[in-house]
Amino acid sequence: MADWIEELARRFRDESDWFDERDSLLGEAVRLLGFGSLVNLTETKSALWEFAATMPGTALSEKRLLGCEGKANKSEEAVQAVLDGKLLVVPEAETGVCWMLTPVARNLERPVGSPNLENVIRGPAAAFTESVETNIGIARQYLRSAMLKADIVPTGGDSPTRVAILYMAGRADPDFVRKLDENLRTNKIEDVSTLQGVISALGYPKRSLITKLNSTELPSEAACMLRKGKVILFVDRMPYALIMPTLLWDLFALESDQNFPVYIMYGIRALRVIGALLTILLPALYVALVAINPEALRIQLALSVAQSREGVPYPAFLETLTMLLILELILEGSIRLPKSVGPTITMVGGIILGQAVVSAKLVSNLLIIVLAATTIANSTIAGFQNSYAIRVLKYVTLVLSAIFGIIGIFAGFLVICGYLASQSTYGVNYLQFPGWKDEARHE
Amino acid sequence: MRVYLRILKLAAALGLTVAAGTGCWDYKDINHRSLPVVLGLQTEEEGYRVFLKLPEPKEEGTDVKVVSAAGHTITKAIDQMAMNLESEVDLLHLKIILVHVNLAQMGMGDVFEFFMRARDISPKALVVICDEELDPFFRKIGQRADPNVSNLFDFFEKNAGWSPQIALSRVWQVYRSVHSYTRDVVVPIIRSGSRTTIEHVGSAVIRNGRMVGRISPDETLLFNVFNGENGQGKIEVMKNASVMISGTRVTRRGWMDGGTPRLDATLNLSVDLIELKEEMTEDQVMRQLSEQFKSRFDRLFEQVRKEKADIFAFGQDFRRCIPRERLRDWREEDYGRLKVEFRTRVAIENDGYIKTKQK
Amino acid sequence: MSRSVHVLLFYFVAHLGLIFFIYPEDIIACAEEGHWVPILVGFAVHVFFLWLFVKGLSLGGNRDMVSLYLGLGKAPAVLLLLPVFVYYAMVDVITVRAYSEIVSIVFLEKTPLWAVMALLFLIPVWLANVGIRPIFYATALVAIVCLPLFLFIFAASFQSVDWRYFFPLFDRHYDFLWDSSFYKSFFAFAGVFLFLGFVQPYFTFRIRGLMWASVLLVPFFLFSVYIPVLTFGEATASNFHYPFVVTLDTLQINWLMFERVTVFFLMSLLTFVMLLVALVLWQSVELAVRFFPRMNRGWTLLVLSAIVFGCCLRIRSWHDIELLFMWNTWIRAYIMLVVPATVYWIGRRAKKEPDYESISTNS
Repeated sequence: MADWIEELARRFRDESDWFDERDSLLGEAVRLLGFGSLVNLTETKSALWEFAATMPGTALSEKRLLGCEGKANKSEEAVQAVLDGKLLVVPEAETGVCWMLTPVARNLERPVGSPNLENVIRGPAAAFTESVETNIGIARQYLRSAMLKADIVPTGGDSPTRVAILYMAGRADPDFVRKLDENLRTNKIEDVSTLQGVISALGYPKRSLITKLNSTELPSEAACMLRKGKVILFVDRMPYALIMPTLLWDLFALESDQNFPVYIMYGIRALRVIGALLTILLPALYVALVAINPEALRIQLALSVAQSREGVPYPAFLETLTMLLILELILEGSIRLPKSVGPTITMVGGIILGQAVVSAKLVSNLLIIVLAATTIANSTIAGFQNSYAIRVLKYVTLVLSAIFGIIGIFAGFLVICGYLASQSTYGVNYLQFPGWKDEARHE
Repeated sequence: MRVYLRILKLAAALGLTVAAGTGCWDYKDINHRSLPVVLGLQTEEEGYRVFLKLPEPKEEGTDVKVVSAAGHTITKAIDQMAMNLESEVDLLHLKIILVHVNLAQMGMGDVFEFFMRARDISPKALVVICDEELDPFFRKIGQRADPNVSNLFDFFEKNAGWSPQIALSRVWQVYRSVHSYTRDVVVPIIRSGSRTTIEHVGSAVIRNGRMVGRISPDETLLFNVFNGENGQGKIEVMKNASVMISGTRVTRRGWMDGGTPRLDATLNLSVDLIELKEEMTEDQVMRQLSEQFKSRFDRLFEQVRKEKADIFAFGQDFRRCIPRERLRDWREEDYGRLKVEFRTRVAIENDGYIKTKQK
Repeated sequence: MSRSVHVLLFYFVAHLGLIFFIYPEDIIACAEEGHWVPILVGFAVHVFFLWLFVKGLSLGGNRDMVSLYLGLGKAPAVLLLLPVFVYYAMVDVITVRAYSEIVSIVFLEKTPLWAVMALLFLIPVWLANVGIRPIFYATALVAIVCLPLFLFIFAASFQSVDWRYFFPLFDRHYDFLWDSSFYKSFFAFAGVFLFLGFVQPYFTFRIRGLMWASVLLVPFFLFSVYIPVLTFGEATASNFHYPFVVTLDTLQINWLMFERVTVFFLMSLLTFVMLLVALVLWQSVELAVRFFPRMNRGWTLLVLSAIVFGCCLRIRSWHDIELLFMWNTWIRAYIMLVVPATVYWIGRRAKKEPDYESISTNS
């Protein structure tokens, strides 16, 4: 037995899920090494016996071992192999030979289920899972094209994560794919188990509000994006597809819209656009019209607004900011609530905050209406992380409008547009119209 | 350096939020502003007296308050009032400017110059002349006021109490007539009524900012119709019949005949028949109506021509024929010589449920 | 056509931003009747020189303006382009100061002027820092929201128009060519079109599309002057500082939730103007960096912005702005006449040379 194999066995000996068994395979004594929590040993052994018995030949060789992937020549390879869930077969007779087999694995994967974060009306309800291979398989099911290329790249430092790049050759931009591949391969530092890690591995600026990686759990969406020429990443242990490059239009257009008739689809998309605009503009408009520019309101409206604000002790901007903060708290809290407590908290939020705070003259009831409309409008945007971005951006217009009035709203809108325009993914600008090629590629 | 920049950015963001929060630069929230709807103006010994009708939003409904103050200029008077009020006076929602008849007769050119220059006052506000003293007028209005503040300007609202005999002239139109060569305006005159809140007693002819004459409500209808307003809804009563106007249209054409300007104007009336004495035929009704309108117009035209006020803006039709320098003296010179041929064409649209004789 | 969309859109909206504020006052001041003649004359002059300019650029191989000038040698290029740099700085100062003044008069009386100027200036500075492509993409996004608003209010402003004020068609004695107001009105043309000389490596455009965009601007030029004249009459309209803005104040739209639509109209246009100022700043920095490549872009922008803002703060009254306009007139003439002619000449000369390389615009 070679030294390094002994070394390996000794290293893991204290682990409670490590097995190091002596067995007899086809008359030869072998040693089986691996993690019992990853390898289903009994099934593997019975499969091995059956297979070995049916193969011709008498000696133990690679050909007669089911799932053999070759020899491990170095310690690092063997360690990586066992950590990946493979089985090491070391024959007692020969020294230095260590075969790596893909065994029957323990069933640790979640079955293909329905999506958690996205609601589907009229569309397939399968969702991606944590395993890269399963995801590639699902993707191939939805896009049966020979042009679909899948490439698995290990990336990361001491515990490399496997990342798969999928694209359609001929539609995706080859430069883009090349850059992506390079960045992933040369990354040796970042840990890509979270999205932030992926972002810095790919070389994007960390501090951007706009997510450069759109994620989706739905294979139908992913397939549609691939057909449009976008590139998809699957990261091991992340149950969604990461789509690049991102465009502003992704906030408003979902592939599942195309399951409706055309005019209804336009209507739905227009509704999303209006929702985004309302989120950004409505609180700012309230503050501007109440505090700085009430001349822009009709007299009857102005009087009823003044009436609703009667007795509120602090300026409109603080009132709005406080209520927005409370709303954000409610939204954030409701994500973490277990299903049993959820409805109670909703009731608390609705009744107490809505009704009681108005009766106590802490805020005006018009503000509650405005903010409720804003929150609902915010949720019409496609993409969960996109709605976070819009939620943050509305504070820009709010602050500017509190200082400058209606001018502040437009200035804030310009700032937002400028910010969105300055985002780009490897040269593809965020505001590009989908399908239009950029005139001159320029970094 | 990086850390320094980050701190700077953070400080800037916080500073901006604080600045926004303090409601910076003296802007008051809407519930700390008074939004007067009616402004009353009359002359006093050394200047002007200004009245403001303020709605005060309370939790249940709205109260109405009338304040007044005097000063050398209008701004001084308003300033005086604002000093004594507990909220800021915001004139941007003014809907009606009520001018006392004496001030109108003295000349309002300066006043309107002030209104147009200061952006505080909306140029869309209506100009109305009041025939009685403003103090008692406002007091009576205040007494009768219901919680709905708008009852004074509902009188002039097109989708509320307006009727085609009431002229509608806004501040900018009066200002335009002050400087225009060929155009004068007509402003309604009101006073407080015995049974209703206000009473419309006719209109004033304003030439270059000064009131020069009065016309009756029927004549105001003619003015409105020439101005393009639809006379719909007005009831015309003749000796033996009554009709309701359902549509009006005026066509006109002006040309120079030698040195005399001449104008042809045709009023196309569509009416509905309402009351009819027996033995009257439709033709007779149409003829009576025509004559009534023609005599009314001729009378009105003579009156305003003597007052040298071109309320129908006839001068506009001569912009092609008369050069601009000569048009400058339109009111003094050519207007006096203008001959207008006025015709009315009546079409009876329907006669209700009961048949009438044609001839 | 779709390839030129960003450039043409920017050209269109930048002009719109400049037309509706200062242009009507100047044109109304320079003629008493028949205003369409000075308008069309000015426009024809502008279109002719614009055509010269873009033709020269395309003959020169679709490169940007600075490369063309550098073909003459560095020193002559610096000399010829220095007035452009100065003009741009002056345009920044005038635009920011004048528009802040308008904003302060029209709706923000209580905010101190420096704060309004800070808002109207710092945003363009940040945009200029981000780069030229974001400016164009942001223009497209902003235009999608603001152009419909603008067009709606523009259409509504015909509400109180009396068409008889249009006559007489011709003025008996036209003396607008001798009136300085007429030349001041060229401010609306001169500041914009030079950007076409800088966009080339980043965006392309077709000359025909550009000419159509110019034609599309003609009704806006005409009506920005005629709507006040037709509503108020020349005698009254010549009293106003901002005739179109006053006309907007008289609009009565009964079914809208808002009372005064002036502020929405002005702000839509001001957003376009801010984008224009951003692009002008970027061009100035680009000029500086092309001739002195060792200068750092960020620092140049910062220094330039500080100087411009300082000048804005120094200007105390509207009369000073008028003075600046006067001084600007000669440089403006240079920009409008000499630069296009020079570019055309260089372009033609370059085409005749056997070894000129053209950057292909087909992809």
